Amino acid sequence: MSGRGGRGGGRGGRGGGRGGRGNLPWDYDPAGVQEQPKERYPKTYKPPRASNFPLSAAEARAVTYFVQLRRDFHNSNLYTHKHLAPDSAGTSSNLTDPVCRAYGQQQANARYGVKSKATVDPFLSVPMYSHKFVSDARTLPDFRGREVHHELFPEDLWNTIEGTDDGGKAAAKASKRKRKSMAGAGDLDEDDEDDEDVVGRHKRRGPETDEERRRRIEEAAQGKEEEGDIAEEDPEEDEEEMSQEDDDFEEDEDGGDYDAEQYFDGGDDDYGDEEGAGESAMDF
Amino acid sequence: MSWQVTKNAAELCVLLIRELYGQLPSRIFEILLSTGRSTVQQLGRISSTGLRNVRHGLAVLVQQNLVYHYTDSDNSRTIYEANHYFAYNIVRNGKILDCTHRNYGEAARRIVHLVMASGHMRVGSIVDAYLKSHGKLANNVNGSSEQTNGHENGHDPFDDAAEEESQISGYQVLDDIAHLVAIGILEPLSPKMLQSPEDIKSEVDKDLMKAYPSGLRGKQKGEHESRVVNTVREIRNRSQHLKMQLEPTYLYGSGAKRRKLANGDRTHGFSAANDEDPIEDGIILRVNYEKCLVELRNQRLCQFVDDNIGYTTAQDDSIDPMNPPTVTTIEIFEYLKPSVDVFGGIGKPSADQINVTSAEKVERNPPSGDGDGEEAGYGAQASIEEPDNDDDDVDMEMANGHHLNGTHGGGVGEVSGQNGTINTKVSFADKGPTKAERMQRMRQHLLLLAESGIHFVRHSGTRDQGEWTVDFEILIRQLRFLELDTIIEDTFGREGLRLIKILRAKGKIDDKTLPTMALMQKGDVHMKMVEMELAGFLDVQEVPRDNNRVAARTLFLWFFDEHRTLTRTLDNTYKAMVRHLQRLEVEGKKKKNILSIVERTDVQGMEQEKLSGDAFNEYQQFLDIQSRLLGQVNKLDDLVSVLRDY
Repeated sequence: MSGRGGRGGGRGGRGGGRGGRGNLPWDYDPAGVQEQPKERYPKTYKPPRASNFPLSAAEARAVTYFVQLRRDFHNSNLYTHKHLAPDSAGTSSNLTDPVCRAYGQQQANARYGVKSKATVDPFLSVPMYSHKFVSDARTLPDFRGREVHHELFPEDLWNTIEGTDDGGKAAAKASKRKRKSMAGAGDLDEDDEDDEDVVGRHKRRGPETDEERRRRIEEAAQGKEEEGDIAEEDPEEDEEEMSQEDDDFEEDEDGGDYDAEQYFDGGDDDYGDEEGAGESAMDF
Repeated sequence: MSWQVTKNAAELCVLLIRELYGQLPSRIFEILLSTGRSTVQQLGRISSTGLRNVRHGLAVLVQQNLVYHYTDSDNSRTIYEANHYFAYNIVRNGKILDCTHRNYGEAARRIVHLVMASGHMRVGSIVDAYLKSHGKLANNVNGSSEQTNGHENGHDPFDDAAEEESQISGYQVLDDIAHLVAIGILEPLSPKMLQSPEDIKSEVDKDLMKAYPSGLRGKQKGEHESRVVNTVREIRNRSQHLKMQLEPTYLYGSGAKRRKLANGDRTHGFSAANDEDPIEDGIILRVNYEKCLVELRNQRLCQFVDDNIGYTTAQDDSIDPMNPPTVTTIEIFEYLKPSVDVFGGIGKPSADQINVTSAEKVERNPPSGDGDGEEAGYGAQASIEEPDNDDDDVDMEMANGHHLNGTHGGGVGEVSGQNGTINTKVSFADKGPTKAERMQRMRQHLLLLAESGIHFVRHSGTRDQGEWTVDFEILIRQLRFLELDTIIEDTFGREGLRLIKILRAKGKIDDKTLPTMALMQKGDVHMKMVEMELAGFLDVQEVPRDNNRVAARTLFLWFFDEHRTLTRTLDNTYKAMVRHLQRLEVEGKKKKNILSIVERTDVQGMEQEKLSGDAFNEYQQFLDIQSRLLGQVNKLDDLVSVLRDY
């Protein structure tokens, strides 16, 4: 507080305000604080260095176990990889400042990249030998082939944990398929309808007893296995899931004659052959 | 146990989830924390990501027990709510695994690891996964398991399991799982447990209200409330049933069975004892973090005693806390030997049993070692270093190099020296301590604990050579103050600490009396006080003596608000943890190239062989930084648990 003396009585600006707390000997005096930035970081402060305090054996073990757990989970299908948008804060352009303030959900979302065909890095997307060792960056957890316990999940999520939740498209497909296989399994079929409808549908059903609920849980658990098989048969579906992130639109399956994509289906055969030949010719 | 989610705490939870479980769940969790209870549709709208994403994220969170969900039976609408307790607990995973490893062995750790990695798991699938993976895991941890070998507490069957990896059977795994359930580290999970406590209560409330169609009046109100409380408690205790079933077999089992297990032919002895599976296949288990917290607390207390008195005494103390509130000397004594039965044979342990076990100990840990083994203290109680001790006589004698332990009231006059611990140890090992001697010495440890300035145990009765209690609340409070004091001392120096200690002891003090009390210059005191007030550790209260509130006519009372200081310190700690995790991310990004190679499936697990020299060095550097950062986070978590959870 020696700096105060030079300022001629110091403590300017303390004239009237401040109520009764005028003449306090310990009063905090902003004038005493030097506003000029000092040349260096204060030499008196020596932050403790990590190297002076090595981890004890137990702590080191705890870290090892944590890392091991993390690796195990990251190798499981439930892990979703981090993918930040390339120009967001915290990436290579701005390494030193990971903290990025986002105001509003939109800005928060902008931090995250979208994994789609448009954002593929053209330099790395050419298939290479080493790619077979790299696990694909997952944007959605994959519950297929995993033991799940329906009673622990709310019904909203049953499709998800069965691996049949594909936004609109695949759900429609699956429900169609199911409609063929299981005639009249009322509630379950409806579960696969469009998302926005969920609330309304539940209201329609009204309250149910515990017993009914249990029965449905069992049904779902049985149904799950069948569906699991179906799902695994279908690699194309898988691909779709991986590539699509945000699109939630519904495809009209029963387009009929006006379904442009199906239009040439009838004459598929002869083209198919040619295509096959072409592919194999290019395939070296 | 309840704490508020501050901004920093929320950030921390989100970062932890992102670190372990990936981006999508962390995003959903972030939104859940900021908006509170919401449905899938609401979440979708707020997050402006697809509903499908929201559902997937939620599914992972449910799988990992990180959200509460509640389906209203009237309109079948499901509401999700963030469970920040569990989210915070992620940071403890490493420590819990370490603790399990030390107390219950390698097999137990692996089981807990499996359950942790998948949130909750069916018993059957734990066994499958265990059998499938244990070969791989065994290689990974070999190095670390050796370190703990000397570390005490061979009191259970897991040790054997870790050694004879080769012939591990499904039954054995089941057995281990059952043991963990009996201890309480794993708990059966029921759908009810995924509902938030408030939801359970309101549901029970609604159910019971049906009995009073015309509403509550007068006396009925109290009656109804007590019924609600009882039902809620019953629901909460439901998960304990299995534990209670298993406890008799695994914890308080007859000594005979235990000994058989310890001798090595555990599979035999056990399957003869009960033929059916010890635990049902279909039960879903998850990690019980509360129990783990208790274990960690014991460990921390043990360390506290260790810091204050000495290693062996600390071991004594570590034993107490697991027991019911009051234990007798002999019960503790029972517990000291490698067996778990606390209640077995109170008052009259058969002589041969104890001879066998103590002899075993001597063999296993030859006391001529580095003094870290448990025996060190049984031989000599010499490692007493009390920084803030009360009993001066002990201290004086210690300084002389010799002292009579009899001063503690134990009775056996035994000579031990501070300088020559090893000598004394050896002399006892030669004899092989008898039961009575061991008992005496242990009693002295206990008395030492009771007599120290920090009252670790309380001598609360005389049954069976004395009963002992650990007053957790007082003890933890002291620990808490100790931590706070350290922080204060580091930030404001010794003077600051002295002032705060005075304030804590005296309550509110006028600023005129304070300097005399602290025996410090007025100016110094004032400067320190302002400094601490600015940092939020102290506050000042003005009491005007007349109407015009002139400074000269006003009393200024300084005080130290414990609660506020605690919350502030906690919040700062969260912030520090957040920064560490963010730093970890940045470091990861800096070494992105090398890490992407390490994560390849063909490289993972054998980095040293596959990576070139430079790359490997770089990877090592990253590992070093990572372990420092995570280690520091763990240390900060120690602080948090002392300040908040214990």
